[in-house]
Amino acid sequence: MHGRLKVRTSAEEAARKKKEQEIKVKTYRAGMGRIFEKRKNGQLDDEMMQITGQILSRNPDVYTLWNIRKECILKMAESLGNEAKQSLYDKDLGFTEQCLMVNPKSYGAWHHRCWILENCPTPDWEREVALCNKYLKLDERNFHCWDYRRFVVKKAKVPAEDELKYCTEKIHKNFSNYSSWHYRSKLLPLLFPHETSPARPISESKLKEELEMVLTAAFTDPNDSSAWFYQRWLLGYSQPALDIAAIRISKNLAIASFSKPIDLRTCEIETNFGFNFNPDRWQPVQKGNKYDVAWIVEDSFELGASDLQQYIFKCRMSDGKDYAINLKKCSDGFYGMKCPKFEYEFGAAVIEELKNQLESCNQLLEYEPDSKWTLLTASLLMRAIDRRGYHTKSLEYLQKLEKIDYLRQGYYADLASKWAIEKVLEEWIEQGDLTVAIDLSNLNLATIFYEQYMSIAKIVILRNNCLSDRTATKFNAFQFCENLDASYNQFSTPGVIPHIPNLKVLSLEGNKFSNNATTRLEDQMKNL
Amino acid sequence: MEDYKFLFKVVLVGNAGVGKTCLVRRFTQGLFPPGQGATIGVDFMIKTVEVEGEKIKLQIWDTAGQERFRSITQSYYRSAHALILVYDISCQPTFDCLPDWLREIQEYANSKVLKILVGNKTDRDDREIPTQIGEEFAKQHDMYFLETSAKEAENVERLFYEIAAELIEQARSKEPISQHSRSTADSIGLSSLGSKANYLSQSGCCSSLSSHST
Amino acid sequence: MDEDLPTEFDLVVVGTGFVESIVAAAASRIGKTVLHIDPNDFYGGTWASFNLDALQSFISSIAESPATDESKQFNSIKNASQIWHVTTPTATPADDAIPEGQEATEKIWTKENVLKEFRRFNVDLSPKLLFSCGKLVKLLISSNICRYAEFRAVDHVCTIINGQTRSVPCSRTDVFNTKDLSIVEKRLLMKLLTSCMGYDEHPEEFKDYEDKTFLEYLKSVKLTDNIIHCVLYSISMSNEQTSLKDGIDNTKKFLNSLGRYGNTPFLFPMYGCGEIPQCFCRLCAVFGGIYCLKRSVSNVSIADAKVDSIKCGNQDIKASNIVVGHGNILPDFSIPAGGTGVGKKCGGISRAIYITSSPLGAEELNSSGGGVNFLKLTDESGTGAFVLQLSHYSGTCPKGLYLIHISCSAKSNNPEADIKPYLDKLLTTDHPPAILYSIYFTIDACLRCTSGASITNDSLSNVFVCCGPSFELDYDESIDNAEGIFKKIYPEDEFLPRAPDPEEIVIGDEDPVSVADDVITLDSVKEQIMELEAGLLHQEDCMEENSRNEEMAMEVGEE
Repeated sequence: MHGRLKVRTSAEEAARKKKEQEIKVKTYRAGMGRIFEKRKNGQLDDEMMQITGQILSRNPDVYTLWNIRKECILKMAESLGNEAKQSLYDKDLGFTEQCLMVNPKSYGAWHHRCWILENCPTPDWEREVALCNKYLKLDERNFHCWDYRRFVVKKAKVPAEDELKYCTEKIHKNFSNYSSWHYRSKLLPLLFPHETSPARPISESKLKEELEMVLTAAFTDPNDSSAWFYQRWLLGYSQPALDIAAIRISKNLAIASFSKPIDLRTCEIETNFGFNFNPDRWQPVQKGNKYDVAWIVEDSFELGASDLQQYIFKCRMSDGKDYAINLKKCSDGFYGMKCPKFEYEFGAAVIEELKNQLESCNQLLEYEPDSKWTLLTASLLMRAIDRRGYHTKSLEYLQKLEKIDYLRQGYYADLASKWAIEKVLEEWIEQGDLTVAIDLSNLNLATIFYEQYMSIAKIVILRNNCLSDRTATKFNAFQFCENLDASYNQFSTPGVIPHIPNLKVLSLEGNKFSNNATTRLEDQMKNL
Repeated sequence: MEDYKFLFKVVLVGNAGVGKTCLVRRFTQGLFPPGQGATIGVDFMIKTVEVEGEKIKLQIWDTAGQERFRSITQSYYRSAHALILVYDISCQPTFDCLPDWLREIQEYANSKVLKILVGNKTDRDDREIPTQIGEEFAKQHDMYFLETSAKEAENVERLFYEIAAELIEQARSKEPISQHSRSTADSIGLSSLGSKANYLSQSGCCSSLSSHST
Repeated sequence: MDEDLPTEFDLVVVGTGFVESIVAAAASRIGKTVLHIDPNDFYGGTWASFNLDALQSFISSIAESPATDESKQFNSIKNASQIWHVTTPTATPADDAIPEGQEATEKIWTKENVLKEFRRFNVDLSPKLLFSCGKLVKLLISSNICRYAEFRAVDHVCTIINGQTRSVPCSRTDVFNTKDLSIVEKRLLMKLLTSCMGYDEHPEEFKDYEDKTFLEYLKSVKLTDNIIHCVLYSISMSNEQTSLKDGIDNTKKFLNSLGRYGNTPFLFPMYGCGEIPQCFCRLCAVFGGIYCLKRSVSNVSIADAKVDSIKCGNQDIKASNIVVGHGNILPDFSIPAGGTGVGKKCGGISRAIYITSSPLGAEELNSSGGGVNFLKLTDESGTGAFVLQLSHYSGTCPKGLYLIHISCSAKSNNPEADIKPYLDKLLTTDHPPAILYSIYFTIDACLRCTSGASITNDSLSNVFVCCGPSFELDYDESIDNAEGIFKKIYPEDEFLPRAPDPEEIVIGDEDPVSVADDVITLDSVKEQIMELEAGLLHQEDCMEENSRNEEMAMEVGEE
C-alpha cells in the first residue's frame, strides 16, 4: 500500500550537488557573457535588469553588475514620468532587499540602496529606518547596517534623542557591540554638549551616567573590549586636541611643534612682530614625513628689532581655525610653550562618581588582588580623580600589571612612561625656564612621549632608563638641545641617534653598544 | 540566509480518499500518482512560487494517514497559515463529514487561519455534490471555495497561487514594511535556529564564560 | 470511519503519553509496523493538555469515580479536586463611581467569562521545561522531530528574596542590566559562574571543598547573600545539603543551556507540553504508523509466556511486542512486565493548577502581558517545588489570565496540603497572584514503580510498561525510559535516526540526481548555456573570482 522511503544516497546527493553547481557556474558564465555583450551594444533594457538580477540574487558582491544596473536604471528612467520612475526605483529597492536576505553584509547591496534613494524622485527614508531596525534585530553587530543607518537617519531627520534611545536598547541587549558604543559617542555630544568647554565632548551630568553604565559593562565582562574603548573616550584618553605645543625662534633656526602631527606647509602663519614664514621652507624634523609634530626652518632671523608688549604667533591650521601662542623674548630669540592637556578636569559630581567607582575597584581588589583589568581601571580612575595625588600609586599598579600580565607588558611600560613624563614635563613648563634641564632620569622610561614639547629645551636628561633604538627617532625633535644625556639605556645600534644641530654634549655610556660600535661613537662625539 | 521572503504553512484535511495527497503531488511535482496513500517518510512538500515578484515558499502538509480513524493530532493544525478542507464531489459521506472537520479546526487551528473548501475529483462523472451546494456551505462557514481535479490538473495551480496571494496580502497589511512573515510572534522553531545558535551565544554568558578566563 | 484495522503488527502501543509515543515513533522510524491506540479521545494520557472545558470534566470524572474502580482504563491520576474562587459576577462599579483620574477598571473575571474562553486554554497535567541544550532538545533536533513544534524561550527565572519576587540574572546581558546587584556583586557572580564552568579544567580550585556542600563552597568564596541565594536555589536548583559536585554539575547544566535561545536556559512548548508526545506520534504516522484514539484492548491471548494477540473492538490483532503506557493496563493483567526500571520512581507528584487574573511579581517580570516565568522553591526536606507561570503568549491561556502550575513530590494523599506551603510563599510576596480557580491532583507512579520487584507474571517477555512523568524539570528520565524499552525490543537498531527533510527524499521514479528546476529560471540564459555546452567553455572560474569578498575588520570605536 505504501511506497518505500527512498532517500538520496550520499553519492547521489554529491552528484546532484555537483550537477547543480555546474549549472550554476554555467549560468553565471553565460549570464556574464550576455551582460557584457549587451553592454557593448548599449542594450540597457529589461533583459539586462533580469540577467544582472539573476546573478546578483545569488552572489550580491559582484560590484560591476550593480554599476551596470545603475546605468540601466538611469537610461530606462529618462523617458519616464515621476510616478513611473519611482516605481522603477522601488522595484530595484525590493530587489536589493532580496539580496540582503542572501547576505546581510553585502557592501554592494547596501551601497546600491543608498544610490537608489539618492536618485529616485520620492525617497521614503522612514521606511529605510525601519529596514535598519529589522536587520539590526537580526544581527545587532552588522556594521554595514549601522553605517547605512547613520546615512538614512540623517535624511529622515530622525531626532538624535530617538537614535540614542535605540542605541541604548541595543546595548542593553548585548553590550559587546563596537558599532553601537561608537554611535553613542557621536550622538551624545549633539544632545548633551558640555556646559562650558567645547573641548569636552559631553556634559558633566550625562558623563556621570555614562561612566556608570560603561563600568557596569566592564565589571560584567572585563574581556569585552568594546566597553573599554568607550570608557577611555569618556575619560578623555583619546587623541589630544589639536593645538600649538611650542615655538622657538633663534638667529638661524625656528621650530614650531604641535600636539598632533600636521602638515605645516598647508598652514598659514602670522606674527605681530614682522616675521614672515614662507610655508614652503618648513621642514619636518623627521625627514620625509608629510605629517609631523615638529617643523623647522633654517634661515636667518632678525632678532631684537621690535619691542612689543606681546609677541603673538598665530597659525591657521587645516581645520580652518586659528591657534595662537604668546612668545617670550630671551637672550637668543623668542620662545613659547603650552602645557598639554593630560586629562580632563571633571566637576564635583563626576569626581564623586569616579571615586565611587574607584571604591568598587578597590573592594574588588580585596577579593581578587591580581585582577589585571581592575588594576588598570583603578589606576585610570585615580588619575582622572587626582593625577598628582595618585601619581605614585597609579604607577605602582602599572608596575604590578607588568608582572602579572606579561603579554601586555609593553603596553603598561609605555603607559607608565607617559605618566612619568607628564609629571616632569608639567613641572618644567610651569617653571618656564629654558636653561633648566628636563630631568627624566631614573624613571624606567620605555619610550618617550611629548617630545614636541621638549623641542625647545636646552638640556634633556634621560639617564638610567630603558630606552632602546626604537625611541631614538624621537630625538629628532630635540632641535635646540645642547646637552643630551642618554647614558645607561638600552641603545644598541650605532648611528641610531639622529643628528641634532645644536648638540654639544652627548652622553651614551652604559648602553648596549658593542666595543666596535663604541669606538665609532667616540669618533662621532669628537665631531660635535 | 534563505532567499525567500515569505514562508507559509498550508495544511490539508478531509476524509481519507478525497485526494489530498494527489492535490499536493500534482501541485508540487506535476504528477498524478496512480497508487494511493502517502509515500512513507514524506512529511510535507515544499514549493516556491512567485507572486507579484515576491518569492514565496509554501510548505504543504498532509495528514500522514491519521485522518483514517479520526485521530489527527492537534499539533498538526498549529501555526498553519492556510487550511484546505477537501471533500470528494462524488462521495456524499465526505461532504457530510465537513461539520466534524470544522469543529476540529475551530478547536485547534488559529482563529485567523485562511480556510478554503475544495471539492476535488471534478473529472468524475458520478458527481453527488452539486457545485452550488459546496459553494453555499463554504459561504456559510466563511471559507473560500474551489472545485478541482488533481487528475486533470484543473484548478490545482490556481488553488495554491490564490492561497499564496491572499496570504501575502494579509502579511503586508499587517506589516507595511516588508517583513519576514516567519518572524511573527516570539516563538522559536528549533530547526530554524539550529545553525544560528553560535551567533546568538555571543549575548549569552555561557559562551563568554567558556571562551575566556580571567 | 468504521474501517477495519490491519490484523498484524510488529508493535502495538497502548497509550499516547510521552514515553509510549517515543517508542512508537522509534519503531516506526526503523520500518516496523506500528499500531498506536489510546482508550481516551485525546492524545497524551498523563502528559496531556486540555482546554478548560475538557479539563473540568476530566477532573470531575476522576473525582467522582471511586479510587478502587478497577474497570477504569485510565488510572494514573487520583485525589482530584477543583474549586472556583469566583462565582457570581461582582457588581461592576458604575462608571461614575470610578475616582477621577483612575484608569477604567480592568476586565473583571467571573467564572462565566473565564469559561467562555475555554478554547484558549491548554492546561498541562504534567508541565515541564526543556533545557535548551538538554536531552529532549537534542533528541528533537537529531531526529528532526523539531519541525513539528514551536517553543517560547522562558522569559524569567525567578526567585523570592525577603518576600519579593525577583528575576535571577542568568545571562551576561541580564547581569549587565540588573539593578538588584551592585557592580562588585556583578563581577563576583560572573567570576563564580566562570569558575564553575571551568570545574573540569581546574579542579584544584575546589580541592578543599570536595566533600563539603555547595553552600559551604559558595560561602568560602566571599559572595554576598544575594548572590548565594540566586546561585544556590535558582541557578543550580540545589539546597543547603547539596554536595559541591552536584551543585557545580547543576550550575554547569544551567549555564550550558544559556545563550542559545532567549535570555534564560529554558524553553517551553507553545500550546503546552501536551504537544510533545504528539510530535512523536506525527513522526510515527509519517513513517506508516496507524493511529486510533478511543480504542482499548478488551482482551489478550497468551501463548508461550508471550502475548500473542490482543482484542481491539471486534478484531483480533497479532502483535510481536506490546508497549503499555502509564495509566493503561491490559485486561486481566494487573502487572505486565519486562520494562526497564528507572533509578527513581516515577509519579508521586502533587500538582496544583491555578488560573489567576494577575501574575506573580511586579510589572518588570511580566512586561507587556508576561511570558513564561519559572520559579524553583525550596523546602527543608529538600526536593522543593517547580512553579511555572504561563501567560497567553505561551498559547495556553487567554489574554489577561495566567496559569500557575506547581509540582512537588507527593508526601500524602492530599495534594492541596502538600502544595500549601509553596502556595503560601507565593501569596505572601509583594505581588501575589489573584487566584480565580484551582485544581489539585496527584500523579501516581506507574504500576511497575509502585509494586517494585514483587511483580507476578514477570514472564511475559513481550510486554513493556512505560513510566509516567517523574518529578524532574526536563524529560531526561523519561527519554532514558523510552530508549531503554526500545533497545530491549530492538537491540540492534538505531534509536530515532534523523528523519530526512522533504528535499532529500526521492519520490516515485524521479531521477535521484535531478536538480530542482528553480536553479535556472531565465530562458534567455538557457540558450547561452546550450551554446556553452557545445564547447565554448572558458577556463577561468568566474564564480570564484567574485566570491572572494573578505570580511572587513571590525569597526573600532573612537580612534
